[in-house]
Amino acid sequence: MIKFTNVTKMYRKGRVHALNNVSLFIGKGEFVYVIGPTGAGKSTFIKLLYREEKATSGIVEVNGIQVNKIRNSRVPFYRRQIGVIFQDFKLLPKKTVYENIAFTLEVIGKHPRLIRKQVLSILQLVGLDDKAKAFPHELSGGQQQRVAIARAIINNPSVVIADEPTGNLDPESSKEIMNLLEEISKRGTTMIMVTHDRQMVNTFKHRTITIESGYVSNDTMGGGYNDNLQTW
Amino acid sequence: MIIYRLGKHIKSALTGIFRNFWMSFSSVTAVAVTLLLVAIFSILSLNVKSFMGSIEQNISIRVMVDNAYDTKQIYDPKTKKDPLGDRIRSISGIEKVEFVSKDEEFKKYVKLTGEDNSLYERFKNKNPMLNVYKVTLKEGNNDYEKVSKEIKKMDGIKDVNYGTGGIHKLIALFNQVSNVLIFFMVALILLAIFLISNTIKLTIYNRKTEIQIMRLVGASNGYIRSPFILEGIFIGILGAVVPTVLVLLLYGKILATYSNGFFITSSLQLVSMHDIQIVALALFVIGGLVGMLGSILSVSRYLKS
Repeated sequence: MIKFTNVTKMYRKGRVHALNNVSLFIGKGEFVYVIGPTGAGKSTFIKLLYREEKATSGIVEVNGIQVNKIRNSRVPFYRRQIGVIFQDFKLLPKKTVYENIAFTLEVIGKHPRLIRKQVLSILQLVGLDDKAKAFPHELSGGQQQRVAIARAIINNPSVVIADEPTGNLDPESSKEIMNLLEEISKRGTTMIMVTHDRQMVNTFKHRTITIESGYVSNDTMGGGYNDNLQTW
Repeated sequence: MIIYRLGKHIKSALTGIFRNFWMSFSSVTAVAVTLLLVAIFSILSLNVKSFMGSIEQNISIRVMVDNAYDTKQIYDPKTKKDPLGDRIRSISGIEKVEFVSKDEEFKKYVKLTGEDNSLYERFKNKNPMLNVYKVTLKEGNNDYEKVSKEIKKMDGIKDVNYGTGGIHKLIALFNQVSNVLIFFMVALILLAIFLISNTIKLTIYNRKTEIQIMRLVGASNGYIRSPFILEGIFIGILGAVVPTVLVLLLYGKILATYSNGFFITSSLQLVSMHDIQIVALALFVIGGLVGMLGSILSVSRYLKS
């Protein structure tokens, strides 16, 4: 459950309005696209969600927690409920696939025995159980993104945020990734995906929130791109 | 679990040091040079302090008795009566009061000037010296001025003095030297903190993505900080090894050379090896602390952003 109430985010002491009085609600297990031109405030929107940024005013609520009120020292614990996926995967190049995923569990202090079990089962889920010992550079883009997804969901987060997850991938791999994300969403995980990929939005139909110059300009159920409205 | 984690952090800290070998090496060297200077300064400072102590101990107040004063009041070797001496003894903070007759004083003077005894014989009856009480203060009591003034108020006292102006100037100078040494030590330690924090900054830069991911997946700040802080501590401690070995060896040599006392008089002793071992231990502690501080400084700056 995600709830924005009159959320405004300003940068540089109020000179730049990244988000303006945004209010919206995203239910548990929903799959939502966030689209909009570059610099419209999409990144700010998701950064507020995983508390990389703090709202200037208004309330950001995730699973009943007021994100703005989380003390800095508690932020790491809050983040364990949220999985984040990036366009550039952000894998550690000197660690194997297995180590990259296990790393997530190590840093939150899981017992080494549990780590092994969990990593192997998640690798199976994303279909990479035969690549555990490979290094990221030995994998294709789609495979690397699957490792990143495995890393993002290994803690069973209630919300997964994907920042243009298919931006660097060919159409075929993009489809595979989308299928995987949909599968995860069907298990009850809220999925928020920022994208520029028209075809994707129009093929896999989901609720689509459009952000333009800091405002939510459009919010349609199963909408897809509207070529008359969204000309960017 | 805690041991497992600590093991991981230590491993990661050591990896950090080896991956940035030259940077770590230069940091360790810088810390080593700094700590060596710190060690030299503190040993000098310790010895200056100990010299000062022994000089102060050797200062006594000389109370000169007026020749016109009633001889019954002063020490009589036959009857052992000593009214004036007893009056001086009654002042608090006094360890010992010793009478030296003007005859003895004159003999000492003649001996000091290197003249032969004929001088003494010639002037024995026109002795220009005065009877003297030598007053030694209790240890820790350095208020020569107050005691002197009190004695001076008594009857029959011609003059009271303690030490010569030179000695007081020397003590003041030693005090200043000691202060300057401490100032340099602090400055050097700050420099070492700065150097270590720079090295750690570089390691952090090299591991930027790793830290970013750690933050993203919910590693606590403490977890992220630990290996860097350990790395700083290791660098600091490694930097303490060479200066410690050097100081222990060299000071041992110096002690052996001057085992019969130092400079002109044997009362000025160098501080013992035991004190130097404490300095050596302190070097390790300072090294570790400096490393820890240096890395905390750069890590926190990084984690804030």
